[in-house]
Amino acid sequence: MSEHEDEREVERLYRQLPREEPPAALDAKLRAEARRAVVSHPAPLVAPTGRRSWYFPVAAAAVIVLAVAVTWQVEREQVDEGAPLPQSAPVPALRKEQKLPEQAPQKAPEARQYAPLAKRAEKPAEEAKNQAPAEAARDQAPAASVAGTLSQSREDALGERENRMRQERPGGAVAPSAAPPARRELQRDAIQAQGRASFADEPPEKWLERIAQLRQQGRHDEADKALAEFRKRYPDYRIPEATLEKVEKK
Amino acid sequence: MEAPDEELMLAYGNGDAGAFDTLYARHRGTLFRYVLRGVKVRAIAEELYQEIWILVIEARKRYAPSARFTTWLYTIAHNRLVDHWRRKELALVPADDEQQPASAAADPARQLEGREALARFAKALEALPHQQREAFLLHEEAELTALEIAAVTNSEPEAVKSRLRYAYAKLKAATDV
Repeated sequence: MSEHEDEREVERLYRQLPREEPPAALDAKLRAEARRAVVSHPAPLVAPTGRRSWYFPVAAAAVIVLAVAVTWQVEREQVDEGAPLPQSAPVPALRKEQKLPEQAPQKAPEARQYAPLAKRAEKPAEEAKNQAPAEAARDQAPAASVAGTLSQSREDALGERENRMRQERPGGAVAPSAAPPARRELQRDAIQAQGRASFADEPPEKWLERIAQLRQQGRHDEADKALAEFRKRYPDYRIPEATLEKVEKK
Repeated sequence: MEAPDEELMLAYGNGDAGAFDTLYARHRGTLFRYVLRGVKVRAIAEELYQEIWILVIEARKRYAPSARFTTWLYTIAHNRLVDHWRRKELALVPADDEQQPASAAADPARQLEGREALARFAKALEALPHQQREAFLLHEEAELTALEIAAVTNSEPEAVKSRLRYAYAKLKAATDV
């Protein structure tokens, strides 16, 4: 029997299996849900009168108070994040991470790129462990001081490496035209990491963050393509409003 | 002539609830069987099936007919099933598992005919590795091509063709004993 005939035989048998269907109650529920979704309109905006005339002013005042409070809170958080940090903050449990720059200097730029998302997303502990050590450390308390210490120690390590290279060079002269080699290397790695075209294997959150980065860098064509690809791959993914602003073309 | 799925989905996105009814009637059976034969437990299948349609309803305004509606629908369904398996911590069968024979193929019940052959077939279908079964169901139930299955499952077309070949061969072998 040919392969084609075999397939026909399999198809024939498959068609003989019971043709299960969803229960009628579920059908009705879903149809009702679909109808409700398209017919539910917001209530008409008619100013209440009489005894209820105070509704609108009070609601407006509440909205304003809430908006001011949220804005104030967001600004305060930003100030906290940007505040200078003590360089010698006591973080005994993180000594291992502090040695990171010498052990794996290549990973540092990438870890730095993902940091804002990691903070927002509140990753589960397991996932955090799998991230770059610097990022994992940042998720731990006290997050801000750890990040500061790590970034400081990274800078220190970089400086040390530069000094070493200067000393090794005959006469100790530094080429005036270019950035230091170590820094150049790190920059090149960061650019390569950003420029990777395929995000397909990444979780949706990271994928979106990369798109936002492309948008920030003005690489709108790449961002558009990546966003289209993302929507194709995750048609049901609801992009949060805040993220949407970053990934969509304005 | 009946309106194509894509047109119906766009109409539903624009507020035509009747368009959804037609669309739902067209895909309810095939989608339900795809989910049911993927998870094997009816109660779970009903729950997932409901969630998939809710996702479709919620995504109605974002729908853009860049591909067939069926591909779009089954991409949502596939993503939802993958979420389910991940949550249940059921390991997805790796690609190299494709070399394993179906357990039903080893069944020595040579004399059984008719209903028993069908029962063997159903068992063999259940015993297929996850990726092969999914490719087979998408091909048979949703009538997707290998390329469309590759798009839905985020796989290489050649890998999908290979999965389909193995699936058919194992199912045929199970019914030949």
